[in-house]
Amino acid sequence: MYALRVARFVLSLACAAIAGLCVSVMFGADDSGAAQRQDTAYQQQVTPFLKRNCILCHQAKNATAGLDLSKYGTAELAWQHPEMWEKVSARLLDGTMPPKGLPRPPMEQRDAVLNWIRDGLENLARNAKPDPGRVTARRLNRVEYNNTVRDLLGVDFQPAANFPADDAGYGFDNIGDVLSVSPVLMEKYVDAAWEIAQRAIVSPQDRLEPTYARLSGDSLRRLGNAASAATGALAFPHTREASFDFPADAEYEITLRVADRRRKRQQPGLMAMAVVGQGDPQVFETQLPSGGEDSPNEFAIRLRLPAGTHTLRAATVDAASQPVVVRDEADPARFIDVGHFEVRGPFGGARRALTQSHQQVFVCSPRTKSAQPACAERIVKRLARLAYRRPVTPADVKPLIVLASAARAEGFPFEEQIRFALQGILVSPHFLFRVERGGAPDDRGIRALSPIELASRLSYFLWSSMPDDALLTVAETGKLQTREQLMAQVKRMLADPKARALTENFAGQWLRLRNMDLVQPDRDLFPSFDAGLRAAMKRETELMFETLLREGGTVDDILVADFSFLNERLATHYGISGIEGEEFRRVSLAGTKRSGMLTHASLLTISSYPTRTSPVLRGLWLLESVIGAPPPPPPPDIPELDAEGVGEAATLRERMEKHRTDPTCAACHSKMDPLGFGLENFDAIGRYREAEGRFPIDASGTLPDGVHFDGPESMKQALLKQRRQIAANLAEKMLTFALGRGLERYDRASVEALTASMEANQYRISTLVEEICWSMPFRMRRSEGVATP
Amino acid sequence: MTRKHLSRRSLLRGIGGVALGLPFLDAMTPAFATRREVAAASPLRLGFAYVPNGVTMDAWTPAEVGRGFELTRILQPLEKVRSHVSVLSGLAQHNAKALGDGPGDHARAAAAFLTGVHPRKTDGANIQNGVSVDQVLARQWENRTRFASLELGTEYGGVVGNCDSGYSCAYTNSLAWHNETTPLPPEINPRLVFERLFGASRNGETPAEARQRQRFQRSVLDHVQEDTARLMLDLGPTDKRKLDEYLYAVRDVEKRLARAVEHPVVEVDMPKPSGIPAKFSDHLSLMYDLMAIAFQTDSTRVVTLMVGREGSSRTYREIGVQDAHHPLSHHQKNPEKIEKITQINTFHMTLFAGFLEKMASIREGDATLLERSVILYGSCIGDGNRHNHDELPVLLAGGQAAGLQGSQHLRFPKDTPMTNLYLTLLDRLGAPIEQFGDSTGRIQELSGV
Repeated sequence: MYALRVARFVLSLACAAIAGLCVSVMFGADDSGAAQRQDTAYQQQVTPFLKRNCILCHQAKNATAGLDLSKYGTAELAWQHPEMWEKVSARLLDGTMPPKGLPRPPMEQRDAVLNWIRDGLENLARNAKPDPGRVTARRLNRVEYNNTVRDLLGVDFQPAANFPADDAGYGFDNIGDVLSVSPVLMEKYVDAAWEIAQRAIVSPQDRLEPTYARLSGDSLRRLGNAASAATGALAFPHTREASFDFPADAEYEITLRVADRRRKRQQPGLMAMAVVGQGDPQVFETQLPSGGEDSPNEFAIRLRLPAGTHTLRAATVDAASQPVVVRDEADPARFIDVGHFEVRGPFGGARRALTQSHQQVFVCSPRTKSAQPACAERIVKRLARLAYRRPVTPADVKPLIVLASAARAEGFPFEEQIRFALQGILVSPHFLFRVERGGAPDDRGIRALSPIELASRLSYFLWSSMPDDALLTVAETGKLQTREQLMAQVKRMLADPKARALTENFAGQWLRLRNMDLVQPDRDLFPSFDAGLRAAMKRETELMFETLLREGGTVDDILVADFSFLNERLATHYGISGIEGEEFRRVSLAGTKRSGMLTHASLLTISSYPTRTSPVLRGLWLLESVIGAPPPPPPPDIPELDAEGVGEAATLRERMEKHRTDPTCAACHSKMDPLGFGLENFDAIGRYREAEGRFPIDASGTLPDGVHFDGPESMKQALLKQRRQIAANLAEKMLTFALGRGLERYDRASVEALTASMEANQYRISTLVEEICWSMPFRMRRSEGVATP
Repeated sequence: MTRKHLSRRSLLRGIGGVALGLPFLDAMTPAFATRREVAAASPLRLGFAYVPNGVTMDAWTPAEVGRGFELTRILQPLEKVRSHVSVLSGLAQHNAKALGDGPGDHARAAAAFLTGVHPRKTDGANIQNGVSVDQVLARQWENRTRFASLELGTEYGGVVGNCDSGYSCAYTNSLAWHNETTPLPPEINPRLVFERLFGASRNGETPAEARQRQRFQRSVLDHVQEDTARLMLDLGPTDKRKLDEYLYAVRDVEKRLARAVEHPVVEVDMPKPSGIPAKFSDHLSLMYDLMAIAFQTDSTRVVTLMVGREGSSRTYREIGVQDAHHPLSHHQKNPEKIEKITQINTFHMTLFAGFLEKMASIREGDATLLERSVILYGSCIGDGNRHNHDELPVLLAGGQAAGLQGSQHLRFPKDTPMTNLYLTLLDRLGAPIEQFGDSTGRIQELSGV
């Protein structure tokens, strides 16, 4: 990956210099010509450069860092050591070589050497034998663990929420090499397995302890227009209702607390409460809103309820025992609102009702003790096939049966025996790791993945979860071989709601959208930023990516699509009127100051400081995430330039312009800063502005290729010219995510092929997803050589 | 759901009310016990508190050397416990320097602080550091307590991407390293720390049921080891390494479950924290409280706490600092920013002082918990503006029972390795080793009684 990244950066230099031509320079020449040019450049440009700047320390007698740059007479000899040139390129790029104190080589000379290295790496990549790479056994990350447990057992309670965070590498948290298992994590696996087994499987010995739940806020719905269609008690427009899943047939206590509005005009009144379909409403007299813990304005009913989801309702009623509607909420004197419901119970040591997951697990139920082992084996076999995501062998099943038998020997009921076997499955390496181990390699040391292995790659790429039964079955019966068969599955899987995982996990990390959960805009400066806005911002970008993926959206749409998804909260934030209500809908952006995704409030917020915007941060974010040309980190001992720039925008810009006259800074800041300034019309939480304080915003700039822009829209138009580069970056990032490994030099050909496919299909994002699934590195792996026992 | 998080007062009450059954409470020390027996029952502990982004050294380093120095502005909060505290100047962590690796001082600072090893620059596969000093001790003492060590923090790790100039987030996320390649990330959520230490409340599970569960969990882990051994036969070396790591973790948990029989969960009269408090000071104080109670209940004897992640951009609104910590630390000699950084440094010290005061208020036999604990506080960056890794801000608290003396300001020769200090501390704790990281010897001033 490192190699690839360096080369990409060099590529972007070249692109900048000869806008658009770089493609033909890279891939147009035939090999003999390329070799010739390589050698000429080596003799005429590289060797003199090395002599002037490097040889002093890096030669035979005095090969600092083991590096001898003096001994290669020709380009051919030099290129027997590509890793060496990668290292040289990296050091030249980040400015750490030549070291401080020695004269700096002129930029043009340095760039010539960098270009030569880039061309050489290109040549190698072109002539290299195809290599699909090798993915290290991947541990399920937290998201994958949650999803897999959900799909395996139908218990959706985020068991991994308390696991330690997964380390990320190459920009993603699903990289096999980086994901490790610490003792703390193992401890959590063991406890989670226990907890999951308890929840998924119901034992006749389970007795439910009373628990407590409060239903407030979003879980309280206003019946509204739905009242006319609603059945049961208290079906009035002003009724508040909430649903709750009662775990067992038992007695419960339900408390209604009146909202304490402290309105002077509010008077005591009557409220009725009911559980729909479970008897008549009960009416209570409310008190004046005195507040305080001593006289809480609340009422409780105690009743027996069958297990299952029930609807709780409460509404203001008239004086008679017959509930009558008051006019509406606008009549504060008479309208009394619900603060919350509380549910306590079940009381009396109720038995748990059988859960859906329980019924799925128990495909048989032994009548006699002697029938238990056979049934246990059936149950365990089925579970293990799904959990291990492959056909299971007797050797897989036997230890699990041993666990169940041990529990049987101690007199545990059948259900609890299965619980132990299930725990065995959930901490097994076959479940926790995705190991690809079958099959012999061909003479190139490469082998195609088995259909079963491919099925897991597909499902963890598109769903961040295990293959479903349909996919496993297709794989087991050999129907995941041809392109048509594979594409049929990809289409099916992308249409499944589970495909939302691709947006959350891929786009969430590619665009760093996940940081939306962490940003803390300053409360004094941005009082309008709250939980609702935070969620809405994130949702907009997710919906946009989901839609582009599903509806054939393109790279151009990422930059300039003329629509987005807004709800009232976000529309208000954007100053767009006429959008009412919580739900998101597609909205035309024509005539607004926004288009595409770069002007989403989410992305503008995550690339800002808590108190202000930062052109450097935004420019860096664009280069790293979208354009794929990350500048090297700042050289050592130079503080981050932006950090000193607090103050009025005008001063900031002036100061930064000054910085960029320093050539050491300019190399990178001339790329980052203009991009950031182009978005200066949007403040640190993404609101449009024409001025900051007294200073009008100047959102003009010049890209390194000389293209001038004046404001966000014209900058995006300028970026459209780099759509191929943007597509190549997207391909590189998505391939990394799909494979779960960093990309290497030999992956360049795959990335280029993916980019070319996109180019041939209007740069559609869906094309990229499909082509990745069909690509060589996705469907094959290099053999590492099987260790002899 | 609506329970308030623990107040400091309730913890004090809680700590006073630790249930019996601990090996070394006063009540358990027979009147006729010999000094030696008392000593054996009175363990020593080692704790670390790490602050990120350096400190304002002018407002940290006392002007005078020796005893009776005047507390500087940042150290002022230590007034009440100054007799327990020594300031150590002149220490350096050489391996946190670039040494040809270019930028990334924050990542290197966190990674090298307790290891004394130069971390490999990588943001993906092949992370490599060294074992940390806390883990050296934890391994020696692992059978003495339920938990060999505890790692605490206040900030979640990097969510996306590399965390500092091409260094993996693993380097900034963790101070403690089990070995060269396995960092031990800290737990951030006080509730989870509490549940780990004192057990999650599991639907009315009785102690007998808990023992039975743990027995079965051990048999589950047994099964898994056989399964893994079988799987590993088919794997290449890289996959095998991953599975080795997994096996190690399995064995570690198995050992811990086995130890649980010997060291049953202690009942404490401390309300379970409900989650992460919104206010930083509440959160950090709660983490310090948990550190104290973990020591007090002898649940573990080794704790590391990251007051913040290296490179942290936390804002400190509760003391009126709205700017993010890290950008602020690049103060470029701007007095306004230096002032804010100093305020943050002092705020951190205030919370640390509260912890020391609490430790000093807990009696254990003939000493206090603080006297039986060696606590090191510091940063692996001197001045945040320069990113230097020499002249580090370091202080030692407690440890009188280990022969340390408080109330002095020691100045060592420039570039004295931190690892020399660690070797000396391990000596003092009765767990000497020959060499550690880049150590060149012991620190004489601290090794004599």
